Amino acid sequence: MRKLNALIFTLLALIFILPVAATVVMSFSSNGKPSLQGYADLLFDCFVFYPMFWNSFLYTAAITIAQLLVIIPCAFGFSQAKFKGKGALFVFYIILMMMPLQVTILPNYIGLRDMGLIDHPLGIILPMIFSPFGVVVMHQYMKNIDNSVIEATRLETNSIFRVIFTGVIPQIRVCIFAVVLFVFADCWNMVEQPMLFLKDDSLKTLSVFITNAQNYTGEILFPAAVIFLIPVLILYLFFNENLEKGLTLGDLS
Amino acid sequence: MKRVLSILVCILVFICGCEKNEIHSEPPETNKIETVFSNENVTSFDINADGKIFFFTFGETGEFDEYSLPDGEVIREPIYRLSVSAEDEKNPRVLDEENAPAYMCVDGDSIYYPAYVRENNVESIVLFEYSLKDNSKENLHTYRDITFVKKMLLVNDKIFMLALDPSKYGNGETGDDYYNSGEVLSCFDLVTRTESVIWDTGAVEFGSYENKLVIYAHDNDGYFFVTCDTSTMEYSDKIPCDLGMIYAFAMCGENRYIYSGGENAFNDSCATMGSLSEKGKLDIVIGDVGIAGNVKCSNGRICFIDSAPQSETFGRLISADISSALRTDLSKFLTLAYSEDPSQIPSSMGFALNGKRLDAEELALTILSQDKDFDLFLFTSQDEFAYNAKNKGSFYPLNGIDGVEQYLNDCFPFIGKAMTDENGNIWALPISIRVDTLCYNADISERCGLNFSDNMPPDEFISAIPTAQSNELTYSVFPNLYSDLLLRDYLSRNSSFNTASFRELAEWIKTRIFNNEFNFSSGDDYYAALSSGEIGDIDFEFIGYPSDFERYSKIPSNRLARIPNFSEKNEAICTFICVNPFSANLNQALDYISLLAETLRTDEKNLCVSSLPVYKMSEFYSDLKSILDNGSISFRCPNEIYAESFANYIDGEITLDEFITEADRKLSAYLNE
Amino acid sequence: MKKHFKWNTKCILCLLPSLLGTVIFFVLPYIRVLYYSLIDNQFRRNFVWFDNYIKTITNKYFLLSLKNSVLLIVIAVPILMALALVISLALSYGIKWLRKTRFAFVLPMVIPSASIVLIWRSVFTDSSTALPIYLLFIWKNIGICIVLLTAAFTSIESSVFEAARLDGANSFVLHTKITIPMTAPTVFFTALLSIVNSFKIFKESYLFYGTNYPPDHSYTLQYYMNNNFLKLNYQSLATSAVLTSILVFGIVMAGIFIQRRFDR
Repeated sequence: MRKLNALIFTLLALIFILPVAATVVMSFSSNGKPSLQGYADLLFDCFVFYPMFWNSFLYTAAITIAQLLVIIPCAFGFSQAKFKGKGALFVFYIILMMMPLQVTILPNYIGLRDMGLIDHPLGIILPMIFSPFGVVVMHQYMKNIDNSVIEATRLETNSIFRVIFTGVIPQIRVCIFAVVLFVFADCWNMVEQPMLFLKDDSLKTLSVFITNAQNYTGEILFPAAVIFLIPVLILYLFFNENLEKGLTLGDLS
Repeated sequence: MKRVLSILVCILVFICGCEKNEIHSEPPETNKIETVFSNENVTSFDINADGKIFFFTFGETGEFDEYSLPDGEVIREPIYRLSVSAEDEKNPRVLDEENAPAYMCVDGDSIYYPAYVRENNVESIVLFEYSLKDNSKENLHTYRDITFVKKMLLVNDKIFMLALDPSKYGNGETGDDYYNSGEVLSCFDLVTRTESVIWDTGAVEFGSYENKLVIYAHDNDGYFFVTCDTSTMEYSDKIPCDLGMIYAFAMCGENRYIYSGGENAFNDSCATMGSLSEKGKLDIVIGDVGIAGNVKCSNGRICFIDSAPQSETFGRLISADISSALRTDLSKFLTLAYSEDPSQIPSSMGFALNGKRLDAEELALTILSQDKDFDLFLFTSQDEFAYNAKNKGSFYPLNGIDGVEQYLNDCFPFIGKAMTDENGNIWALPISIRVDTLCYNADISERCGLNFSDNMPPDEFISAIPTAQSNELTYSVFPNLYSDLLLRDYLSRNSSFNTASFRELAEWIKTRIFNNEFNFSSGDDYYAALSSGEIGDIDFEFIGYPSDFERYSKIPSNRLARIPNFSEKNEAICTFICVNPFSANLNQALDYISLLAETLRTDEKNLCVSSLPVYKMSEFYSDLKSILDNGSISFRCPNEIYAESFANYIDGEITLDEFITEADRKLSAYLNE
Repeated sequence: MKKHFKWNTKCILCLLPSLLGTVIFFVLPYIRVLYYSLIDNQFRRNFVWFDNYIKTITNKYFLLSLKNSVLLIVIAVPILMALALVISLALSYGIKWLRKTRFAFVLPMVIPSASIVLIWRSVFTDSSTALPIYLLFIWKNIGICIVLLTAAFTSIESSVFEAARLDGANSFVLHTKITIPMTAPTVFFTALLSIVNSFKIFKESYLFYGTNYPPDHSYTLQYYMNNNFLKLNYQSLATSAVLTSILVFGIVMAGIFIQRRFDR
């Protein structure tokens, strides 16, 4: 029985991986024959690829790191502070998280334009740093931390940063990895914001490059897609073991 | 005393008021063409310090070379020689060069030019100096590494040459339109007779003004200008400026330059004036000519060799007066946004008009976010945006602006109606109109009995084509254009495809236009006539642009008829300007509109105006007028709603019912969302 | 008491950066959208209050898009959750080496839309139903659900299971009565996340159909909003945005309500 289950799940896994495998296979073929021509076209002839790759990486790294700095204190504050309307505020965050992009994009554009941040990397980075998604996820995990550790740390020091750093972070280490992975994947894949908020082509990201791949010569769509996969994959493999124990989410309320 | 004073004040105010009116009625700047030389074979030219123009032409000397072939046959070929003429010289000097050099520089009594010299099977470029005093030629310098000269200028006793060095050829895409062809900029000092390379990669164009050299180049950060004082050979800092990949450039002032090509030009037949110190740009319209490569400014005019094949002055050296453009204050500029390349740009009326192309999403974002950066929008009535913009009312109503209402009253009524919305607001100013018509040679009715009259039903028109083919006429009517016209005509009157009349129309199009035995174009003879400019040989074809009308009207036997369709109206496409109500320069923009309206009302080439004298001058134009009297402007839905599906239906991939369901679904969504 | 007070203040101050950023980049724009939905025209700015809302609610294309979006949520999300639950259970409690296959489920999350749509189009040539989009949605989002669920499942202590097994429970009962209830918050959160992601599938859907006007069964809220954006119809865009946010609010409230009842 178990063997049958195992077989079924392996089959399922194979079905899921099939399109990805097809992408990889097609990246190594050109006109039906196996060849590295696509990669050669992409890596040697397409000079816009490198700056766009670097941009993607830069923005995503900046957003991820900055987000951590913002959401860890915020989630901590949500879990520890007591004030009226805390629940309502949190529900508010959840609603904001669920807004589809089309709702926010035009007002965001107007806001960024009034701040003069159109066609500037900060115009992409700043709004994403304050995306409510990270706050919601982190808060859910923080609900389950051990308050006694916090009390103990508070006896030693008055600085709230020390408390967070030494008391809380070791406990939610696992959760940080998860959030980093999700945020990284989210930012890595964003297409609409670079396309609309950045006018200069040299500032755009790899995701935009792939969406407009037919404008460039050569069969570069699939090789670019494969290269696009690799950084997030590496991140996932790196964090894989750490995503196991210690991750339970608290109540929504 | 008080009374006298107040009367004096009133008189003063009155005089001031009159002066203001005078400024308004000053005639707009004209860019007149003065043909300089009527021989076609001008290869290069230069203007000396006194304003005298010298140029190279290439012509037969009257002598012949004789060659004997092995079988004894003798071939005599005419000998061509290069000659250099000055604008008013009667006796050109003959130079002994096999190939005409593309550039020359004149200084005092010397003419400098590069020529190919072959020595020991190695071809190299040599700089020659030809003395006008004693007709002697001196070899100044042999360039070793370059294979092609792109441009040459003489500044401060130094010859600067932009040439191609194949060893420096780069490849790969850089993200913008720059393509490294291996250009190097080298300097040959005439005093010391030494050469040095001063810019070894990325130089696109350069120009000079007095002792200042201005280089337009490209590096990893994009395009930029850099200036160089040729006395000290010191360079200024980079001035970033993205004009795109330009192909003609000249300095016409301390900071002013003129260029052709690149991003900001609306089309090929105009140049743009810009300034190193100011942001504004001014598009200069000269006519149906082309500027590429050789262009020089002197004395308030630009001289260049016409590079437009369809132009009457192709290959000739012509000059145009740009003195009014030079006087324009470039800090007073207006930004014009457009989404599709317009066939006609408005004249600048003394403002520096800077055009910017935006795609659909950018345009939507710009309009909806109330962007202050754009002052004007240029649309054609084919743009999907035009329809939506009109309905949303996000344009400044032009009712109160001087001259606008009078101009609209002078236009054809259908144009005036299209420019006014339901509430009576005038939302746009029409600039030009074009209408697809059938132009035919009236003689063919004698030759084969074909009578293209105005009331010809489409069936008769289609039946005329095989007759034309069998009579070996020269013609071309494009089936896709005709089919599209009929569809658009249908859509302008209906809001659904699911009607009996559409089914009839679709079947008619499929069977009569696309699935038949005859040719819609007579083939090679038509294209030959078109490319050689002998349009008098063409018996009938579709034409639509004002410039086409001008050219074809010159053939006396040409007449115009409307393109046969299933309604009474002829669809016209209008180009117009709207004002952005949120623009930062609103007052300037409105001044511009007012000036423009006045000019357009009296412009003899503006076909929008129904009382135009040209309409009475020939039968051709009165035909056009009667076509436009029945004109209509309809703002249409996007192509994607029906175009691809209709093409599939024509090819037989889907049935008519399937097309109707699919297209109607999309059309209803588009209209009712 | 005073120390407690200062501590509380410090905690509240921790919230400040995030709150500030959220207000600037999300709340203010939202208020702007609200304002635009209440006026008739960007230029004339007359308040028409709820006229725009009535126009949008009675617009049959808005209703169609609403129906399609809700259908996607109501059909695809439960299927996604069920599949994710089953797979996560298998991965957490099944044979150990099966854990390696989690990799295969996570990969779809990071593939760029442009390339996967090409493959999808060559496989699913029939566009008479919205099935390709549903499948694409499930395929893409299974990864994130599995990561969250397996993480939660594996952190339940095995002692609980042993106790239950001793009581004679079989696998099925074990999981339905113990595992899932114990990780209920995670399950709810994952469902919520999937609903959020159902809005994001618009990008893939747009590339798949290649047009602004897909077949009626796939015409979702985002298409309506995007088309109105391109048609400069800002009022429709603003009202549909506000209505969508009300819908979202309703879903969140319902979710919290269910969870509270479930807890009891």
